[in-house]
Amino acid sequence: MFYGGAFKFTKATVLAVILASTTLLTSCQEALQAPSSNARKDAISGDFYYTGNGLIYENNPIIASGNYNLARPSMGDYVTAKHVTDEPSLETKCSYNSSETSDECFKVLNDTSTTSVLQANNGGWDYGVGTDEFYQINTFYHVNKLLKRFYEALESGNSNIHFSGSNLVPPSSKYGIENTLSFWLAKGLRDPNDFNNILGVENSTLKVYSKCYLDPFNAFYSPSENKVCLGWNDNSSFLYAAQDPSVIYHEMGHVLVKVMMNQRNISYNMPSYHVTPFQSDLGSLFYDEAGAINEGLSDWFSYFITGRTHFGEWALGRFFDASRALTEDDPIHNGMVSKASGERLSYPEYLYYDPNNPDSKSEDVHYAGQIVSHYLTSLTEELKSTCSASHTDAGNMVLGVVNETLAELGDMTGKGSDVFDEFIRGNDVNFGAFFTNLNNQQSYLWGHQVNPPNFRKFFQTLAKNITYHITNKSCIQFTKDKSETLLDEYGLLLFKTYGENKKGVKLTDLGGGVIQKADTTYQDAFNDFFTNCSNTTFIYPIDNYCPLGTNTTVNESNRRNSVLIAKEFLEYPEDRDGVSPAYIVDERSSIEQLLANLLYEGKPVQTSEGSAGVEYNNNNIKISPGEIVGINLNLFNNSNSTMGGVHILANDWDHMRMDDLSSTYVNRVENRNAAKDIANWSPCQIDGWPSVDEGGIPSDGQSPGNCDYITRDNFVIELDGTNNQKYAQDASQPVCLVQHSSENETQWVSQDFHRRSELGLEASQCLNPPGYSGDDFNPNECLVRFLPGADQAVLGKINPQKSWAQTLTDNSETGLTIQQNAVTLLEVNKRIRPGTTFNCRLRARFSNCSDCFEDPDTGEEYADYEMAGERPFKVINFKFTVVD
Amino acid sequence: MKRKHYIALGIVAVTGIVVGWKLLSTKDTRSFVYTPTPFKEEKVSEQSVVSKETIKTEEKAPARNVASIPAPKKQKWRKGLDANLKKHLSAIGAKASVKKLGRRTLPSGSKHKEVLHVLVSIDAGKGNISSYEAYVNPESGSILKTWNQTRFENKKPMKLSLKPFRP
Repeated sequence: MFYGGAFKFTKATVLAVILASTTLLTSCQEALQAPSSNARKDAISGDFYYTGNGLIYENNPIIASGNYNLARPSMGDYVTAKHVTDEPSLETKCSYNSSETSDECFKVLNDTSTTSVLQANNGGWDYGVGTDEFYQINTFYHVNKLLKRFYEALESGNSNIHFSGSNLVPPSSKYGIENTLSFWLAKGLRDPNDFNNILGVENSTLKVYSKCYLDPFNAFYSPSENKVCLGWNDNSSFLYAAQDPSVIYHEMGHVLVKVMMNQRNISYNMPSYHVTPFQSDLGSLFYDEAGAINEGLSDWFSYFITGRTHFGEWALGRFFDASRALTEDDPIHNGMVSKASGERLSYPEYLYYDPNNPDSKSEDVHYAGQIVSHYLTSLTEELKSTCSASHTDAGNMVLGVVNETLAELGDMTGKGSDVFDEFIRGNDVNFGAFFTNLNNQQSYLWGHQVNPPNFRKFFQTLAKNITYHITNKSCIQFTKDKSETLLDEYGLLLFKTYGENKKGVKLTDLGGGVIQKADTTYQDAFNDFFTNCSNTTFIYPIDNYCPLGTNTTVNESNRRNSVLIAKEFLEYPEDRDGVSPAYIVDERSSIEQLLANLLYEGKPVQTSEGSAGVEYNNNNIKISPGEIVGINLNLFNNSNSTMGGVHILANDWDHMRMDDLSSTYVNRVENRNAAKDIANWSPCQIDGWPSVDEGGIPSDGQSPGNCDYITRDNFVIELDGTNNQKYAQDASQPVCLVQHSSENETQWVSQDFHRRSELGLEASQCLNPPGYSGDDFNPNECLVRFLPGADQAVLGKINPQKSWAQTLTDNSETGLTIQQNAVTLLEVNKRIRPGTTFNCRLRARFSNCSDCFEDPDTGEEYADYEMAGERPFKVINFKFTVVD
Repeated sequence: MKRKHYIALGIVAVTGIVVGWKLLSTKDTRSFVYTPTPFKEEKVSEQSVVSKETIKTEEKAPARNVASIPAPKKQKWRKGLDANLKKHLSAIGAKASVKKLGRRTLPSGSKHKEVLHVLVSIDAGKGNISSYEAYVNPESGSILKTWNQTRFENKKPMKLSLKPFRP
């Protein structure tokens, strides 16, 4: 206190001095502390105490500043105060329809070494702009914003479909999704003492890391570990993916795709749960159309939240030329496309289109995905204008049909809808009517390799759902013709019917190990349970489902831009001048690199050590004993329109017949010692090859076991009651046959026949010997085989009257540098005699094919089981002689 | 004020400064103003605790070997899987780790197949870690199926140089 110019100390004065000193030291200490990388410390004001508020970037710095040439932004200039959360820490549960996740649905952490979740500062989020904490708060805000909006739309979409939608198509989205918690990343709660026993379900907690060190600059979603990493690195240490909300929405879009695809993969009927052995994903190879659809959907999620028709302006666009537009009007397109009729960014012409580098020809899921994102954005805009819908309502409608579509495509139970659900119908999971992805055992193979989502499958299913759930209900002004016209503008009217009355297979256990296999349809399966359709207009309860029984046809006058091409125009150019029919690589280090990359990416290839391996690779551009050879088939488009999404399969299929259906046992020593009747297989004649004289079996009628009859379940090798291995009656077989000469006769025979009669090889000397394959050993792949994991290839598009290589480059005759997605791997047994000739029957089809998905005679969609045969495909005879 | 008062005040002030410095050098400033500890330890679910302990019991080597009890051998499946991963990944200088999640029985046609469910993580350096789930053969350790692969946003393809081949 002051008295007349003098002062005297009291206790209060002393305390004040101490506190002042303390405060001074506090600030000194903060100044001395090294800020975390790139941190900028703004004063902590305390303004947000007990408000749940914090500073965040509502938009990325470019949008916030309006400066598209922004260099290093002043972080504090573009922040706004927003309510972040009232939770005490950056983790929260999610709720859907008043049901909560069992655990936190997500939490935000700094980096992958962090184990602690940031807590509120006195009930607020007062952390300096540019600090690690700030980026965590910013990330939390945007993830939470997206999820809240997603659940709002999902509730609206599901309510529409289950309670006010059409009852003419069975819903694929799960009714009562909260019972299985599969509105988020759900999994079975397994008994730790018996992993097969599922005690219940629980949600996984997604960890979103706001500052992952990733070089090159990157972001990723890891579904196996439930984490999203938003990257930065010290090449541009001021640049964080977490600075760009649109990138957060995109990355989280992949998580939501995963959720929607897997909602059917946990079934529930008190007190039992059933969890499928695998989870679905959209996209399997470095480049495929499923992956492009995933990227397009994720780009759309940015628009879904921001309403902005461009994304990644800052984190992807400013320094990497990798931001993407979602509409043709965007300046990035530089007038190459427009919204005028016939000028849209359409399929398949724009599959290779990089707007930042229009002359390049890249097979990249992000570029191909632009067709999807542009279409979905246009659909949303049209719903807004046609039905005077708000951005929110239009977004709800689109998300509702996307969810319905992904639920069907991702179904690993094989049922496709709760209407046929094994629990609701009281069937074992292995029996009943299967309509999606063949059946519950083959669903992963079908859904990710044999018949994966491509542009045709996705947009046909989406169009069906638009017709039934938007045109018929939410927005009747958006007519079927309008819907078809919009799809056609994008070249996506790739189907002739909507395929509502799906064909499938019904498996019935007759006891004693006998399984009845019958063809069925949605309507047949419905009639198994009910006698009359209900006249109600909605599907809940599911007994109100009332199938149409026919497929709605596309109005062909709406097809102006979408060109369908017959599969006969896809050629293997073995006799075409100036076109190399195939390309190969047998250089050791390249194959080693490829095997390592495949393993890194989760597509591991198991080679047959001792019988083949890279150590035999001799780089002589031939197929030699012992080698692992990379093969690209340079297919030719002999039509006058562009082909898109050419898919080549080298996996097992039903193209051989067992000579004697009473001799079914696998040729291995255990069976021979047990005096079992050993099976022999002969090739079915396909497209006239091989001739009868050469061992081909001609058309033999539709009886099980015959060539004309296609397996209904794709089972291959079974065990009898004494654990001896025998073939299923219509087992799929490996693709390669071998030429066998005897008594002046040359025939095409199974590899098993040749290895025993010509080479005298034992099972242990075969490729994929019993030591690796166990009970699944198949001697029909003893000599050469396409390696599982590298037994499919995708060629993005083929221009008219060009080969695929000619589409990519003008100079392909000396060699070709290509991406791994276009290469299959062939393994060759070192014990093969040079001069031995093989014919591998690969199958190919493409997305804009007129007769690869529909029977040209009946116009009916092929059932999934047909994908184990030849009818939906162009069969390619890849013939070669093994030489030293 | 007398001189001794100034001395006393000085002692008190210096003491306060020292105490304050000590306090501030050991505690976060925010906790000083009665805020809670800024970070909460991440929770580990019951399920994952059980799984981890199960794995530890099964696979952890003892802290020291007792002469009469030999150290447990690496299981055959793990040996096979590790060798396979190491062999192939050496080409790109990546390292793998495998976590066993459990043993499962899967239907396979009309038979059943015993498999091990594992999590494979492969570290290629610079933060690039790819992970996926896999079923492996419980005897040989060969990988049978994989799913739930990491999806990288910026992924450069491996490019291969191929030569024309006319069979």
